[in-house]
Amino acid sequence: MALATNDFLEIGLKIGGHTKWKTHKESANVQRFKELFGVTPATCSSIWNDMIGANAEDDCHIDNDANPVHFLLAVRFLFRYEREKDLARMFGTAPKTMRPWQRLYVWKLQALLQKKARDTSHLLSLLKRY
Amino acid sequence: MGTLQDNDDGLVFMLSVDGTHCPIEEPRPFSTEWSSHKFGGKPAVNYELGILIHKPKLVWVNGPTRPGKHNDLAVFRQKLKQALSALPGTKKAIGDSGYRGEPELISTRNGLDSKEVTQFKDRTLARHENFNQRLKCFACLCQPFRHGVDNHGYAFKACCVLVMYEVETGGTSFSDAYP
Repeated sequence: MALATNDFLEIGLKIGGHTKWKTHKESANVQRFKELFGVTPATCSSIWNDMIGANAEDDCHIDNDANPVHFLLAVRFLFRYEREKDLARMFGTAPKTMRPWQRLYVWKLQALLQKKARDTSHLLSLLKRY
Repeated sequence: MGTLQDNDDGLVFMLSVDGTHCPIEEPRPFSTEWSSHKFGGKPAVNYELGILIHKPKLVWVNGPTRPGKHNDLAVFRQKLKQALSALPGTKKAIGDSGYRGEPELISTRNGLDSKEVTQFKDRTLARHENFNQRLKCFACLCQPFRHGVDNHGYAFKACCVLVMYEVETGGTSFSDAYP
């Protein structure tokens, strides 16, 4: 389902261990989120909603019951590029469980670039001609 | 994530082009083709990026290519040259000194430019380097990549998506080079 900026803020800060995030002002929370994932919650929300709203045949499409934690896992992987066990510890899971989700969402993210290319006759689409 | 056709008819300079190297772990079998002069001969991959000048939009990503085998100009001649030539009208890109050799399609700094044009080119190239720096904020692109060259291409494009959405949602500003 589509998620708002505040939903991502809450999910991300809980993953980062900020349990008292509701008592802090919004700018501080956004800053903390950015320190954890490298992008703002508004960006995450925008990408997530675009992936949800994509056509089912698009590579970047995700189902309505997809878990945003898996998406944040991929973003964290790109941002910090930690060892697998460190990333798994942060998300409270095992490396073996985490690995396919991380790969899937990195692949979905890059497919979003290709989708934009096709939708808007992006220059990338010219790549196929040469 | 814009379009190459997104340019205003009056603009001659529509695109800034630059290459960026990202370190990787040594691919097997060993080859000096992966050697990057930017990392002291250590292995890396090269990507060619094109950003519209009058809009903060990434419109071209080409890579990964081998930095020890093809320099920026050779990479440009592989694909982007044909794509730019296919556009109607006279459209030029702005590149740094590594792109000297294609004066019909890429304009570089030269002594014949007026002061205003020189400043414009400087501004454009500085803006492009700014974008490259934002990509390098992602550790997977500035630490030696451990997951192979193919996966590096996916990671690079995923980071491009994140940065472009960040610009679109106003998370970070990315000024236009035209005054």
